[in-house]
Order: sequence, then C-alpha cells, then structure tokens
Amino acid sequence: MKNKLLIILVLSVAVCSCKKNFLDRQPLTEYSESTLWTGANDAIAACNAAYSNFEDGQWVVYMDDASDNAHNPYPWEGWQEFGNMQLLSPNSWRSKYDFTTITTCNWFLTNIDRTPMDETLLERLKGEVRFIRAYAYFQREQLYGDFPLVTKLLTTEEANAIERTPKAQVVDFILKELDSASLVLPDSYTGSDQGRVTRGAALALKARVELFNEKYTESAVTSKKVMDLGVYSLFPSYQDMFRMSNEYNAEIILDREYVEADPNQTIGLMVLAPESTPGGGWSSVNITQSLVDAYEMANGKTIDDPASGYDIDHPFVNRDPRLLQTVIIPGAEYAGIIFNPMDPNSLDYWPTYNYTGYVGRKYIHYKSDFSDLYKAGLNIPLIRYAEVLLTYAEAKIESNSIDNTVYDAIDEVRLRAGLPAVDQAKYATQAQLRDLIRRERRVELAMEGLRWYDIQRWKIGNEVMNGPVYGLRFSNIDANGNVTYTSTEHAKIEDRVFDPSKNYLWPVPQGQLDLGKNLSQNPNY
Amino acid sequence: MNVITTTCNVIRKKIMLLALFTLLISVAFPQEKMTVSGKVTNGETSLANVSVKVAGSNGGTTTDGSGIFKISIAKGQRLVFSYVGYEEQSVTVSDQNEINITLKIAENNAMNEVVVVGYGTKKKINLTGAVSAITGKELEGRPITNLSSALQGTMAGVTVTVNNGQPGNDQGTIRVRGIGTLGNSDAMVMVDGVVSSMNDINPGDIESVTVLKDAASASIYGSRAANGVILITTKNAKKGEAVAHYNMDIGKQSMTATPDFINSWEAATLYNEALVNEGKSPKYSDAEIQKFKDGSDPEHYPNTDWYDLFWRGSGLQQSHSLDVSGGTEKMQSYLSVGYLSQDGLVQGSSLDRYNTRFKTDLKINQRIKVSGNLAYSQQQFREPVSNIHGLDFGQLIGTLHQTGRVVPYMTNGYYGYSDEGNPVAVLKGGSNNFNKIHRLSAILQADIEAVKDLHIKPLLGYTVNMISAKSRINDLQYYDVNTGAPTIWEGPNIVASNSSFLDNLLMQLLLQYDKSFGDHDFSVLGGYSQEHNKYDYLFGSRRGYLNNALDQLDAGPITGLQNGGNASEYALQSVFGRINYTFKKKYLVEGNIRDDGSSRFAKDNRWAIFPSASLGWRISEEAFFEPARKIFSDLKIRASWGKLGNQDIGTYPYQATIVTGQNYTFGGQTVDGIAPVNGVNPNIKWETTTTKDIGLDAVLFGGMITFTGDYFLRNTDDILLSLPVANAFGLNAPVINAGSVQNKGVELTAGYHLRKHDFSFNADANISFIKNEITSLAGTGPFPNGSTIQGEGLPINSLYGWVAEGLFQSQDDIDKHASQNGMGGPVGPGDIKYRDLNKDGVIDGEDRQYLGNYFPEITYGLTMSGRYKGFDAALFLQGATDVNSFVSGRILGSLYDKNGDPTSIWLDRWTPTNTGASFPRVWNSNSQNDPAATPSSFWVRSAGYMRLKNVQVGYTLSGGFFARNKIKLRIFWTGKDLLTFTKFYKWVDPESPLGGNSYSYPMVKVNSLGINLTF
Repeated sequence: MKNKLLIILVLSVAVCSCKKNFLDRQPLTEYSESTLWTGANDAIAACNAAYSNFEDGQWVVYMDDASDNAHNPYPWEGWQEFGNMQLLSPNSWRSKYDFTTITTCNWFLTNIDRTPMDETLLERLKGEVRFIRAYAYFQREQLYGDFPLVTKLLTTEEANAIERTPKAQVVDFILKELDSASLVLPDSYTGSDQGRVTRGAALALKARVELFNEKYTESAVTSKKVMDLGVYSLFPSYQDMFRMSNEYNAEIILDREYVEADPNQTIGLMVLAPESTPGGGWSSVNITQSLVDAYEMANGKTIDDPASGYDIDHPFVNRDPRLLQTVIIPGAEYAGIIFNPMDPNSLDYWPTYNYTGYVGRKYIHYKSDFSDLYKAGLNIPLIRYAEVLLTYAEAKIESNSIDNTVYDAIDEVRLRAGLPAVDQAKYATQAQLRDLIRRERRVELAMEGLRWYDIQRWKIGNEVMNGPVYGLRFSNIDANGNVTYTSTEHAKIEDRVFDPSKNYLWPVPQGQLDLGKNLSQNPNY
Repeated sequence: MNVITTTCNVIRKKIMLLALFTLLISVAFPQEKMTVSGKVTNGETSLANVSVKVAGSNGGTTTDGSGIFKISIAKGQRLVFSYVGYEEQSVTVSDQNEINITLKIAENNAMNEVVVVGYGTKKKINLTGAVSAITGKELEGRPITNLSSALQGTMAGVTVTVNNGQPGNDQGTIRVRGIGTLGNSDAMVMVDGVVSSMNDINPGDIESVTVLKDAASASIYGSRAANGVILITTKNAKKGEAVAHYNMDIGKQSMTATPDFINSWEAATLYNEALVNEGKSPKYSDAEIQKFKDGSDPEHYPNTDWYDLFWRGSGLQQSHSLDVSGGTEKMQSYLSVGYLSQDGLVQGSSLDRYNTRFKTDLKINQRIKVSGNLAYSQQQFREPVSNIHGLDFGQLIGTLHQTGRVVPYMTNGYYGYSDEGNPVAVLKGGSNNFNKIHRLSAILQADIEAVKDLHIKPLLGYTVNMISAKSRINDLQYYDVNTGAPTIWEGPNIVASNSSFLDNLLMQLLLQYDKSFGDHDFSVLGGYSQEHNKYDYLFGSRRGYLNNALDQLDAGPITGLQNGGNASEYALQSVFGRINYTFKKKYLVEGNIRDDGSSRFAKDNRWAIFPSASLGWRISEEAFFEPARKIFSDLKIRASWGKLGNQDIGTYPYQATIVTGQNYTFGGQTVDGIAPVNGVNPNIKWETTTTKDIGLDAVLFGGMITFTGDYFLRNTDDILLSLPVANAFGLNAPVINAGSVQNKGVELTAGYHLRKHDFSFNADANISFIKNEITSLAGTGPFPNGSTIQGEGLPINSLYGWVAEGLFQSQDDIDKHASQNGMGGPVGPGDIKYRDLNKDGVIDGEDRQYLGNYFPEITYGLTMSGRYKGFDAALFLQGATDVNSFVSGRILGSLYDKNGDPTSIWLDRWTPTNTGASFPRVWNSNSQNDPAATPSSFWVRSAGYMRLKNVQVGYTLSGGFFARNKIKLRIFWTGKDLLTFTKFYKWVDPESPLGGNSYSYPMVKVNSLGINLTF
C-alpha cells in the first residue's frame, strides 16, 4: 500500500512536470503577424479595420456646435467651448489629435505587398486605405494647421520625437495620395461592398481640399471631373435623402455607414432629438437664430430684403423648404409631441435643455424609421454631390471665371430644394455671387459638419463667432403648436468671444505637448 | 500539520512573577529540616533563575546559572517551581534529597509561538525574516463580511484601504509595505498553500493569517511574492472527542456619513446665482422659488430628497458558522458550513454566501500521512442597475446627486424624469445585475517519510472559479409631468448573460530534511512547482422581450442578439530550495533560492533567479546576557536581504497581437476588421524587488510584553509599465521595463498581556511609517493625469494641480495677479487665485505642482481587550495619518440645472457680502474653480482619520448546567466602524475613492448581536 501510494504520487508529479514547452502559451483570441497576410480575406479584413474609426457620425453632427450654426447646451459634452471659445484650452477633451486610424492605414500599407492575392484587388484595397489616411489628415490639418505627417509605423522614441509638419506639406501629401487613389479605385460597388471608397470620393475630397486651400482653378477642374463621371446626381427630395430607405442613392459620394442589426455598429442619434422625444433625446445641437435667418424666402429673396414678404410674426411661412426639413421650430410636432420650448413644465423648456429653442431635424425627420434612436442604423453622408456642385461653383467664382456653368451648378441645388433659380441680375458680380454661394453652402450643408471649415477659410470668425448668440423669440405656444409672440425679444444664449489671433485653430492637447518635446502649441494658447 | 499560536492575541496562562511570591507570608511549622538539591531544565537546557519556594512560607531560593538549586525544607512540605513563560510545578518533599524538575513551557506563551511561513511553520523566536500574523481568535466575534477589510489595522506594515460598503463589494485593498510597483500591487493570497482569494473565505474557518513582508520570508514564493504574501491557514481537525463550534451574529448596517443636500429652493437660488455669475439670466423667478419653498405645488416645484428615497434597504446582515472536528489517532476530520446574508442599504443590493469545507487527515502508517481539503463556496450577488447608466450601479448611485427639483413620481403614480433618469423608478423597475460565483478548491497532499527525517511532500491543488452573471433590464416608461403623456421610454428590455470559468492546477513536490546533532540544527527544503491557469468566457444577450416576465435568452427574439467569447492562459514553473541552520540555538541562518519561469515573457527572458538570505542572533541566549534575562526572556536581532520577481502584467505582453473586432459595415452588413491595437516590446523581462530588512524581536517578563520592530528598504526595479507615449505612436503604449519605486519604512508592534486569576487584559498596538517614491521613470515623465501625477521623486499617484492662494476679492485684485484667463472662464471676484509658480504672468499648465500623497504614510491599529470572570470587552481603533485626498464634482454638489444638487457647503460661498467665505463663488459652466477640471490645493485636505473599527462586549456562560454538559456559550454585542474622527469633509468618508466622487456606495457601520457556542 505505502509503496503504491508513494509511486503514484511521485510519478504523477513527475509526468506532469515533464511536459515540453509548458511555458509556451500563445494568445487564444488574437491573430499574430505570423498567422496573417495569407490571402485576400486577411487583406480585406485589415483594410476594413482602417474604416472602423475613420469618421464618427456623431462628431459630424456635433461639429456644427463649433460654429455659428448651433450651440451645445452641456459643458460636459465638450463642444460648448468650441462654440464660444471661452473655455477652449489645451485640456479640452474633445480632440482629433489622434493617430489610431492613420496607424492602422500605415500598418496595412507596410504589410500588404507580401500578401499573395489578385493584383487588381490588392491595388484597390491600397487605394481605399490611402484615401482613408488622406481623409484623416484632411480633418487634422483643418483643425490643427500643422500636423505631424506619419506615413510609416513608428517606434515609441520616434513618436515622442515627432514634429509638426507644415500644413502646406500635409495638404500636398493629401492631394497626391488622393490622385493616386483615384487611379485605382472603381466608380462604384455593388452589394456588400457598397460604401467602400470610390474614384468619385477620392476626386470629390480632392476638390474639397483644393477649395479649402484656395487652389481654386484646380478645384474647379477636379470637381468637374466628378460631375463628368456620370455616376452622381441629386436625389429628388432633400428631406428624404437622409433616410435609411434611401441609402446609397446617387447623390451619396461617401458616407459613414451604420447598421441597426448590429448594436456595435449603430449611431446614437438621440443627440439631435428633443428631450421630450419618446425614447429620449438629448437636444445637444441647438440651432441658432442666425442659421434660421440664413434661409431665404421661398421666392428666393433673403429675409432682410424688404420685397421678400418676410413677416416677423409668421417667420416660418413661405421660407426655403429646407429650413423646416433641417430644424425643429417652436410649436412644431416631432414624434407626436408638440415641441414647446416656452412651457416651463415641458422637458423642452428653453432655459433647461434647448437654450436656443430650436433643435435639429435633419437625419431624424421620420422618428418612426428608427426602433431606437440611441442605436440607429442610418448612414451619415460625408460627401454629397450637392457639395461638389457648390464646390465647383465657388471655385469658379473665386478664380473669377464666372460663366453659365456656375449658375447651372447652383441652380441644380436650389431647384431640387424647391427654390427658384438664381436671380442672375441680382447676383452678377463676383462679390454678389460670393455672398450667394456662401449662404447656399451654409443652408444646404447645415448640420453636416462643414460650416466650421467654411468659417475658417473665409476668415469670418470675427463676424459670425463673436458677440451674442440668440435663440427663439418669446411667445406662447398652445397645445396644438400655435405660436403667439409675446415680445420682439429673442432668448439670448451666450456671448461668444472670438480671438482671430488664435481661434481659427484648435489647441494641441496639453498631454501631447507634455510627451512630445518637439511639438509646439498653436499661437496664443 | 500547522500548529499556530501568535503573540499578539493569545491570553497567557499562569504567569507567576517572583515579586508576587516575596509578598506571600507563609505559616511555618517547626519540623525536621533537610537539604534538598536538584536541577531545573526545560527538557533541553537548564533554566537559571527559576524561583523555588516553599509553599506557605516566604522562604525560597533561585536556581543558579546551570539550573542547580539547594534549599532547606521540612519533610511533607511542598516545593513550588515557577518561571516566567513556563507552567508552575510543585512537588511534595518526602525522603528524597535530589529533585530534578522539568518545567513545561506554558501554552500560549510568546516564547512558544509558532507561525506559518512559506511551506511550513516556524517558532517565532527562530524567525529571521519579517512576518506578521494574527489568529482566527482575533477575528472572532467581529461581524466580518469580508476578510480583507477585517485585516485593516491588525498588522504593522499591512495597509488596508476600504472604500465601499456595498454587500459583495466591500473588500479592502491590501498593500504590504507600501505600493511596490506601478502596476498591480496586490499581495499574493494563499489559502492552505494554494493561490486563492480572500473574498469568499468563511471567517469561521480561519486558524491564522500570516503576512510575509520581506523578501527573505516571501522569496520561497518568488514568482508572485514581490508585493508580499498572505498565507491563510484554515482550522485543522483535532484528535479526540468531537467538538463543535457555532457562531452567529445578526446586525444592521447604516451609513457612516450622508451628504448634506440643501432644499430645492435654496438650490434654485444658488443656481440662479451661478447663472448670474457667468453673465446669464437667472432661470427661476422669485415666485417659482417661493413655490419650491412653500411646497404648494409639489408636482412641479418639488423638494426631492433622492438619498432618502433611495437608501431604504433593510441593511440587515447575519452570519452563521458551524464546525465540527474530531477523530482518532489514525484519522481526523474537520467539517464546517457557513452562511452569510447581507442586505444592502438599498433594496435590490444583497450578498448571500454559502461556504463548506471538509478536511481530513489520514495516517496510513508511521511514515505516510495523507490529507485532503475540499472547500466550496457560492456567492450570490445582486445590485440594481439601469440601462441608461451602462448597467453600472455606481452610475446609478451618481444620479442621487441630481437636483431635488425633479419630481420622483406624480400623484397619479407616474415617474418623473430628468436626463439623469429617475433612480427611484429604476429600483421599482427591478433591473439588476445578478452574479453567482462558485468556487471550488481541492487540495490533496501527502507526507511520506522515505528515510528517517527525509519527508517527501507532494501536493495537488485545483481551484475553479465559475461566474455566471446575468444582467436583466426591464423597460420603464416615464411620463410628462403636465400632460401625463408617455415621454421617455427606457428600453427595450434586455437579458445579457455571461459565464466565465477560471481554473488553476498546481502541482508541487517538496523534499524536506531536518537533522539535529550536537549544537547544530539543519533543515533543508527543496521543491518544484508548476501552475497552469486558464480563463474562458462566454457571453450572449437578447433584447426586445415581449414584457418583463422572462429572463432566459431563449425567450427573447433573435433579431439583435449578440454573443461573444474569449480565452487566455498562462503558466508558471519553479524550482526552489531553502536551507536553515541554527548553531547553539542562538545563531540562525537561512538561505533561499528560486528559479522561476513564466509564460508571460519571451523565451530568452522567461527564467529568472531570485535569491535571499537572512541572519538572526538570539542575544538572550548568550552567557553575557545573563543579568538581563530577568527582564528579557528573549531578545533577537535579525537582518535579511532578498530579491523577488513580478510578472503580473497581462497575459501576452511580449507578443504582437492583431485584434479582431475592428469592424465596419458595408452595404448594410457588418464586416470583420482586424488590426494591431497594442504596442509590443518583445524584450520585456521580470520586474525585480529587492528588500533589505533589519529587525528586532523581544519578549519581556516571560511574555507579558512583546515587541517587534523592523526597518526596511524595498526597491522595485525594471518595473513593467506602459509608459505614456505620444499619440503619434498610434497604438496603446507597450509594456517596458522602465521604472523604479522605493518604499522604506519602520514598523513597530508591541503587546502587553496580563492574566491574574479571573482577570486578564491584553493590549496590542502597531504602527507603520512608509515612505513611497518613484525613483525612476527611465528619465521620462512626469505624467500628469487629471488630478494625479506619476513623476520621479514623487510618491506613486500623487495629487497634482494648481496651488490656491485664496480667493480674489476685487477686480483690482484680479488685475494685479497673473492672468487666469485660460483657466476656464472669465475671472471674477470670488474665484480661486492660483499661484504663478513659474512667474511668467500667466496661469497655465506649467503652474501645477505636487499637492500631496494619497497613500497614507502612517497607519496604526490599537486593540485592547479585557476579561473578568464571564465578562469580556474589546476595543479596536485603527487609523491613518499623513495622507491627503481631495473632493470634486457632485460629492461637493454641483450647480447644473438638473444633474447636480448642491450640498450645504455652498451656503458659505463667496458673495460680495460674504467675502470671508470658505468656498469660491458658485459656477455653472465655467470651470476655473471646478476641482475636477481645475484640480488645485484648494480642494485638498488631510484625509487622516481614526476609526473605532470594532467594539465588543460579551458574557460567557460556562458554569453549572453548561459545565455539566461541556457547553460554553458566549453572548456578545459588537459594533463595526461606529465612529470616525477626521478633519476631512464631514459627509465624505476619508477613505472614499480619490476625488470623493459620488459614484460609490457609501461606507457602512454595523451593530450586531451574536453568540459563540462550543459544545
């Protein structure tokens, strides 16, 4: 007995301990470089990862809070300070000073060439990834000006020693990359590839970047190329273009895709909806009176035109139809509830949550389209054909080669919206047309994240980002949404202070300056 | 088998002082005298200075240096031999002229104390390393819901921080000799020789808890011992008639501190003031404020006390524990069951724990012993949650700090709502997290004496941790306060279920050889161990159930279902050896060496050797010490040096991994994406801790007073950490061997023990001084992170921020001061004035500095207990000083419209008429005064405290009926954390998480009644 026991015990320990490579333990849930790049599937999955965070649909709609189009009522959301510039500091938590997507792209481009796969597909994937990287740099040079241009994988030492590359150099890089991508990307995709980057997207982004960098002649040429592709046209209804059932229509050149079926791939659109919305809304994007006033009358005249027919007691009657398609106004119905920012007992009471008394309607016009606004599946357009038309027109105006194609392009956008064509007599000179195109861009592209860039490049911060911000006009609103004005006064939301010597660029985050000894801060932060 | 007794707590038996005897007056009978001589020994060595008395007289003598005595005595008289620390003996003299006496060491004497050490036990007087221990007795009668928090203040050098009172989440953070590393600093916990957790152990099962503090003691556990080792030994089976113990207590928890929210009308006034301070118009009219004040329209102008509505749980807790042990010479068994039930301060928060343990020792023959130890525990943990707060209970607690201007429910019973949600509605809705944690531990071991004195000890230990967790979200409808129409819907209802399985297999073989010859005592230990640990996780959820009736996955719709799973594993392998040598019982030497391998490193860095050595000198055994022996029964100095390793750094840190789940959607379908996420450094190696320790152990007056003192210096080098890297790197920072941390300190423990007839008294005190410093971050840093910083020359996680110089009193004051324009809003009188440290005329990020240490530098504990006849009482004080903390955000009370409610501190804010205020002017969105956005010394306060950790009063019934039936019954009342003395904010517990955020469950005090029954 005792010998048996002893033998068993000693042996059992001895046997187990003699197992070879006991300490070799490989990750069980993750791939490694040695098990990857074996074929097209791997390459496609790696390329998909580049898309995964290349843009954030919420960021796009929030971006107007950083402009004169909107106001963010909640300091903790981090956007208010980008609107009023008062708290804007290098410690702001909202930042795009991030290289995750860029690094994924660099990793892909470093490794992809060793993958045995179809050459055409390989080139296309490279084109997609180059585009994504260019898109990321476009956003960053816009927000920060000079930005470190990283095109390969870095060591930690290299990363900490990085310097900011002059903006012009980054722009050159972006344009070159978009050029080369446009040569290998297809015009369109079908089925489960819809949404990937196309030639049109590369050219349209290039036209945008050229326009933003005052390369007007080039921009006109590039946008013309998009127009000549024969792929894109305006969707008949402005209102319904931002609707799940109309995704992938011919106006969409690039979007950020979401799908309701996968809760991890949804977007929280409750940030737009009023507080009173069944299911909950945040009303984080409060439209300003200034944007509301920018919409023309349905007759094509601006509201300050004495002949426009604008009635201050019925300010929303006979306006550019896009106004009510973009903004929920006081007294309007949304999701079966009258939006009443004048009622102190309403969740939408203006001093409580919607300081301006206007919230966004674009994207969420049909509440019934969504089973849960917190987890919506709507694709957010990033580049639309309408923008390309306006880019073309603006590039031609700014390069002072005004011809009929300029009017045609603008008219195409206006007619679709339900406005009359441009009054060519009224808008004849470069300066007049500049006014027109700027207003047209603002209203057509409201809440699509582009307004701040326009303010930046037009250098109009002093005029539009300074001084008081106003919201709704005081009134009584009854249960049916009928508005009776009680005063000529508008709610004053805040006083904005814009410092042109610094506020055209966002501050480099303090944490990055602490780590990167060769980084410098933007002026006056 | 471990026989343990420790100094601090055991009541000494029969201490006879010489002085006592000299006072005795004896009645002498004139009888024939004779001379008797003899020798007194303790069985091993002769005992000098033993008192030899003639009973009933004051005549007597003492033994000489070689234990010899000579005394003149009459026949028939009684000789009484007494010596401190030994049991008294008496002999009636008849005819013999020579009487040799062997005195027995008193049980429970400090001289006799045995402590558990690595892979064995040791007499405390022979220890050469730094070890602290307490016995299960010391924990008895305390309402312990969690062992880790019960250890707070009991041992020098062991700092326990407890900052949560939630049933099942009230475990303490244990730091042995400070924070040793920048990563995981948790001490390793072993229960009966197997790596384990202390969160699920039945306190009734505990025989002893030993903490191995220095490298020399702990190094035998090399690979995971760098942060100290806590050895928990459970009670063993005892030979003889079966004896049973039953312990129970039942008690009630209540909050130690409550935030002092002000009424809604005051809060509304303050909110208006904050708006006006920032140039905005006030929100509430005077009429509205009046409505808040007079409560005339409670539906629209309420004064809601969310705390009062939320914390309405019973707070009842009870525990029961029953054990039986007994056995024959050949076989002994111990069997125990335990039950703990704890209901939280809020309905829906609870913990139920069931424990059982079965131990058996089997003596197969003279040479072979086997023993088995099987333990199972189950914890059922429940807490209320809500979907809009990410299923996080803490977030839900945070909503209690929302304004009292929101109505909880209307007269028609419908729920009111703010964008924070409605915590009262959530409780009613019944959404909760429910976890069932099963833990099984099986240990099989044997002791085989292969040849004389050579023991082979194989051990097989297997533990399984199984967690099945379920989150269930019920949908909830809120209504508009005016129209009664449904507004916010919190839904859809979701059931998320997950299960994890963690198993660990330990195989160990020890060879032990003990030999004594002459003045030499040898003990040699050699061992091998290997451990494999695997974790598996599986998850699934469904949403959109028809109603709230069912909570199984299959009952839910398929659309929107989710699932996931992952796994990881690691392995450790070690060879180790230890040698002990004692010469003449006074020179003690110990050496350890251990070669450790870990799967967490690449092949070339996998193995590392960790040596240690220690020396002890029992001065009291030296001849020259003779004169001092009357006072010092034992005096030892000791010194140790050793190295330990740490490899607790994630499972695969050296391997480049490409992570799945970087997904996107195309054409309305999710596509898989993969990409690297973590930076990788294949060259990482073991983190090394070197500890030097000098200590002194003393036993005075045969055990009446004990003292232990240690000075230690502990350096951790090559610390594995993710050094922050610039974003341009694009991946999470890789783990590298970069930092060094030093902890140095002094630990003192003293005990006083007195026992006289019916009366006994014990006092034990301990205090530790620990200084912690990051000595190197490889030349990088410092790294500020919000209100804390990691920097060379600073303690780990130091407080960091601006230096406040008081409040601005006027515009002139502001104009003269350095510009604070970039600090979060237009500066005005009443704002905090920050010091311009770099004198550049601008207050910015460069003007921040170290603001204090968040880890206590001094911790202490004091236990006093007394017993008179059947009565007993005990008092346990515990505290910390030289520690700072700071509060921020909602715990202070913020002045947002809906989601912050101010506390009474804001009544003393700066206003033009209250310029001597303690707090700055109120703010709404500007952040220049905000402690979270702009951390400053203004909000830092000393978080030192002293707590009445435990107080106990009991009475033991043991006479008459009880004695006849061999029953002992003790009835007691006990209170836990009843009083706290602190200068910190009065409604914030000084141990709360840094920033005193409002998201943690409050600390609780407990009043309990209980019984201890032995039969």
